[in-house]
Amino acid sequence: MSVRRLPVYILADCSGSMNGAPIESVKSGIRALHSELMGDPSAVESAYLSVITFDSNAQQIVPLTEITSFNPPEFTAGGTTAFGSALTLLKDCVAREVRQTTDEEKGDWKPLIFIFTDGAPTDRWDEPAATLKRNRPGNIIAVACGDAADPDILKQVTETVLIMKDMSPEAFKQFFKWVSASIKQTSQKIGAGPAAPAEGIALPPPPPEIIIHP
Amino acid sequence: MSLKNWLFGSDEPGMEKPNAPMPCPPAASAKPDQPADTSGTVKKQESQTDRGEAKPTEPVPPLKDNPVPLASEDVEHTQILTREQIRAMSDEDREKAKPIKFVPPPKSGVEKGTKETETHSRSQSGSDLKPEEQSTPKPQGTIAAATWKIEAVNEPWVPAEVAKAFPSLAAQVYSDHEAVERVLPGWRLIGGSRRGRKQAHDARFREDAMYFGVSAEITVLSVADGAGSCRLSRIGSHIAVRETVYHALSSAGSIPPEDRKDSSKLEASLKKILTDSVKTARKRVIEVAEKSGLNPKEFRATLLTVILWRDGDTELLLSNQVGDGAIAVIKSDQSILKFGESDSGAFSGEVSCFLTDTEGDAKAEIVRSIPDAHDVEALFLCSDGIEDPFYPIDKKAADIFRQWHTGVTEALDGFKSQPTQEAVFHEEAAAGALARWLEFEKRGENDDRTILVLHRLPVRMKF
Repeated sequence: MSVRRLPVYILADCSGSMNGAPIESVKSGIRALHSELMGDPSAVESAYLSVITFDSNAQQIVPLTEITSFNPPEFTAGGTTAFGSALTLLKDCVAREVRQTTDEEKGDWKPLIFIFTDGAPTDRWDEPAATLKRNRPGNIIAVACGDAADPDILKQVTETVLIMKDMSPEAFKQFFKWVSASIKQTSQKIGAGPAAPAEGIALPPPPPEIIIHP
Repeated sequence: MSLKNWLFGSDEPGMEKPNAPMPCPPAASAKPDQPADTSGTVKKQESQTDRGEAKPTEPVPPLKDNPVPLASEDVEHTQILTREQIRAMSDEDREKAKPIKFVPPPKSGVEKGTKETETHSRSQSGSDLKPEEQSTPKPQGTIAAATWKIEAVNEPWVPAEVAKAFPSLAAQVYSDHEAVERVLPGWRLIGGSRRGRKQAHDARFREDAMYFGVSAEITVLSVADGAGSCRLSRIGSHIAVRETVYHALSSAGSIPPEDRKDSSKLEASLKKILTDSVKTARKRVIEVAEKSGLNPKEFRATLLTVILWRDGDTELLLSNQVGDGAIAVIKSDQSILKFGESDSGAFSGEVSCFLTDTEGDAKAEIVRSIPDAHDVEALFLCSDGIEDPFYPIDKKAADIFRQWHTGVTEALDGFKSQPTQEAVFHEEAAAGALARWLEFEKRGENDDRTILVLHRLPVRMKF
């Protein structure tokens, strides 16, 4: 009998514009996230992390891994922004790695997916975005970082879009702290059906540096 | 005493007084041969202090909490030994080695980093430690993995806006754990509800609720589970179970004598009573929310109800379920009957309909029945805190019933641990035994756990 997992996917934009402090802040943020989750016994038992990066291509650099075995990955920035490929890869990874409830087995918790990007996509993204929005494979939170990111594009992927203008290390630190708090709060009973629509998962309020895109 | 009185005040106009129900008593050391009280008189649940004539009573003793694994901050000076090493030591050596940290042999990879390490320190017992010291993480490579804490909740159980509109609700006594027991003619009812580890760690109240009532012919059992994502679901579950039980008990007297002798008419009457009871509960929860100026969705809860009708040779069972959780029956041939339909979604924690949702009334109409319950040996209704670790319940319920009939000598497959114990059904104080059974540990299963059980007394089934 398998453990019910809380799958968490992080999609990180590693295009050239993220070079320097932003990409270091992302890596540092993932390390801090891992450390934070290790401090929560519920997350230690349930949370599984995966990291998908996208530059000119998309790759799952860490498959869904329980946090006690998770090693924060190293990656660099460069290339363009294959956002559409990343969304397609995300869909495939969720389909392959996440279990739904069957007559024999209780499913995983609904995945929590964080996407952050700092620029406009350079590949075909509209169809993968529409597919994700239609199928809702998880609770997706997309973050538009800096001035070049277009929150309206992210709105094509999910209703929950945040804007983080400030890309300083401190802003990333606060963001990942919020991600951690969101993960800790997620494994709760929620409505999911026509009669009991989930009005968005209950997430803690984002830090002041981040605003919610209407 | 009517529920309308406890919730809405005795002077509220238009409130009829129902027949006297008997709400569930506190945990008791019931003896199998104890004559059941079927007089129909009212007995107050000791954990409540409302309803006008309430007398202060002792709260229901809490169930035993899960022990909190301890960890030492002073890692550098702590001698770390395996259990085998400890056993191999002489008493003298053991005295020298202090504090001693027991480290179980490594298990499979999935157990790594969980709270498996127990620390036994002769110089400082667990009870001497402050909560923050108990929660000190243990070393786990470069990052310490956390252990569970037990935290008090820093807010009133009934928030101000609800307390203002419903003072009697604010007078209800909340406890983190409950245990109940009641012997009936030929049956015994036992139950337990415990705050989940996650709720305790996050400083949240128990969101599950249970309640039962007994009158001459009718026994009503009700379990509810408040949605963790909803701020006041604990109030919703609390009201739902009580309203259901009170309404069903007070309605039973209205069944005409001629219908009681006709099995199909009796079944139809009881189905209507059960449906109306669940609908009434739904209405009350919504009413409390609206009169408090709140959205009923804040009070979302599941609701599972079972009615047992006993009258002479007639034994009839009915059930209704709104939301997740499980109702299971075991018959004399040891076959398991799933006696309700769980409204679960594709992922864990998802529920397709709560009591207060738009389809709540439609769900109330779905009543299952066992017209002749003479071959039923036992049944339970439980929240998902028990359903999930024993999923699928139609296959795992047999294990549960077997353990209650024969005792626990080893943990079931997939479980970290289960307390070893004698058969719950053969214990004189069965509620305490059931509370102990609820202490099972399974990775990732840390929700509130609530269960009400009915079983034959004396026990007829042999495993």
